Amino acid sequence: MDVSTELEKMEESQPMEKTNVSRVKSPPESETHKPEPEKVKILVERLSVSYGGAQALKEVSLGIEPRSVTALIGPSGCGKSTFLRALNRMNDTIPGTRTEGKVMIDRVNIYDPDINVVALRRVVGMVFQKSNPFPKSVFDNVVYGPRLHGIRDRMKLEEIAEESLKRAALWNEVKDRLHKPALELSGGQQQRLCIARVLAVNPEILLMDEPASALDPISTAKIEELIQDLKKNYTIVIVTHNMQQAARVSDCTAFFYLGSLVEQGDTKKIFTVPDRKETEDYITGRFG
Amino acid sequence: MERHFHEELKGLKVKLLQMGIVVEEAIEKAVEALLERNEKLARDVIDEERIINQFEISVDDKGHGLLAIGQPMAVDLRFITAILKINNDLERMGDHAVNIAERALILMKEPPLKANLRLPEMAEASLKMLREALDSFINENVDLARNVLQRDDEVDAYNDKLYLQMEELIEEDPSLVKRGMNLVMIGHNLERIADLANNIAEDVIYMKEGKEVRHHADKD
Repeated sequence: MDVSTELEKMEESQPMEKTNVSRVKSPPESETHKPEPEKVKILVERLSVSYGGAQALKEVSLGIEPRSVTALIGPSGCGKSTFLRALNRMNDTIPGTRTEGKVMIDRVNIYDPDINVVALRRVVGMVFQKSNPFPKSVFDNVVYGPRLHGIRDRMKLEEIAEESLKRAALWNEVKDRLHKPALELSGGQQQRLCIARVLAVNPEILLMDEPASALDPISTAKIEELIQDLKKNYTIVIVTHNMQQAARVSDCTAFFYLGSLVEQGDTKKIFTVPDRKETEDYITGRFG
Repeated sequence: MERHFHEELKGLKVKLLQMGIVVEEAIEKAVEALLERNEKLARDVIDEERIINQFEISVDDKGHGLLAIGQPMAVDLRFITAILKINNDLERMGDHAVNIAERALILMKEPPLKANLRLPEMAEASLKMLREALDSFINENVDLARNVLQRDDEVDAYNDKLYLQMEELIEEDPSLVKRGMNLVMIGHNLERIADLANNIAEDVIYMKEGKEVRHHADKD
C-alpha cells in the first residue's frame, strides 16, 4: 500500500478535493549522491522551514530510497529534527511555522492543501526520543491506533497486537503481561512498545528522533537490531547524535549544518572518506 | 579546541617517526657493514632488531587502543589505519636490514668479489625512498608521496641488473656461487625495502586524500 492508495481510501470515506499528484522532477544538480528517481520513496525538493522569522531549513533537496535506513546527523540546531518532522508535517503543530518546497512521498506532495494529515501520519509514523506509552495496559497501547481508526473486533485487535509486538521484537518479553500497565516495562521495552504502537497502524515510513538516546547500551543494541529488521519492510529515517549509531544502523547518511544539507551519501563513504571538509570536521570532532 | 584524542594521535605519530628513524639507521648500518666488511656493525643490526620489534608492538597497542576508545571516523580513522600499516611495513624493513646484515657476515668470511655491482647506489636509492616516504607521512605531503611511487622502477632496475650480473659471473666461474647467491639475496632485500617504502607512500595518499592508488586502482 502506498501513500496515494492510502489517501484515495481516505478520500472515499471523507469527501476531499482530488489529490494533486505531481510528476517527480529531478532534484537540483548537486555534487552529492542522489538515488535514481524511480527508486525514491521520499523526494524532498527545495524544502525551507522557518519558525517565526528564524529560518531552520534552507532549500534542502534529498532523495530517500525505499526499505533503507537514512541517518540525519549534525550539531544541535542544524535543522535535522526540523527536516524529520517535515516528513509527516509535525511542524504544522508549531504556531508560526512556514514551510516552502515539496516533500513527495510516492510522488504525492504531502504539502498539497488537500492532503489529509491524519492519513499522512498513519503512513508516516514517528518514534520520539523519550518513550511515551499511554498510562494503559501494554495491549491497549498497541491497539490504540487501530481502535482510533475504527477496528472494534477483539480477535482482529489481538492479531494486530501480536503481530506488531513481534515486529517490534517485544512479543516474547510481554506476551504473558499484555494486560499489565505499560509503565511497568523497562525504558528499552517502553521504547519498543512505542515502536509496536506505530507499526500497529501499518505505516510505510518510520521517522525516529533519537530513539535510543535515553537507553542503556543493551537496550540501545536491541533498538538498533530492530531497526535492521524493520528496514526490510519500512523506509526508516533516523535522527541521531551518536555518530557510531548512525554508522552502525544506516545505509545512507545526510549531514546538516546551519539549516543546510552539506553532504548526503553512502554511510560507509561518509564515515571513511567524506567529500566535504565540514562533514569531516564534524564527524572527527574538530568543529568550532 | 584541540581534543585530547587528537593529542593522542600526535603522540602515536611521534612514536612511529621514532621507529622510522631506528629502521632507517638499521638499514644504513647493514649496508655499511656489507660495504666496509664491518662485523661489529652487522652484529649491532641483528641485536637491535628487538628495539624495532618493541616499537612495532607498542605502536600496534596504542593504535588499537585509540581505535577502541576514540572510535574514530573519516580522516582520523584513515590516519590510524595508515599508522598500523606503516608500522607493519617498517617492521618488515627491519627484518630485511637483519637479513642484509646476516648475509654481510657470511660474505665477510669470503674474499671480496671484484665486480662493479652498484650495490651502494641501489642501497642509497632504497633508503632515499624510505626517507621520503617517512617525510611524506610526517608532513602529510602527497606530492612527495607520489614522487616516491615514481622511483620504485629505479630500484627494480638495479635489482634486475644485479641478478643478471651475478648470473653471468656464476656461469663463468661456478666457485662464485656462494657469494653470488648471497649478493642476489641482498639485492632482493633492498628491492623489498623499496617496495615497502612504496606501500608507505600509497598509505599516505589514501590517508590524506581518501584516494586508492594501490595496484594502480586510480588508473582503472
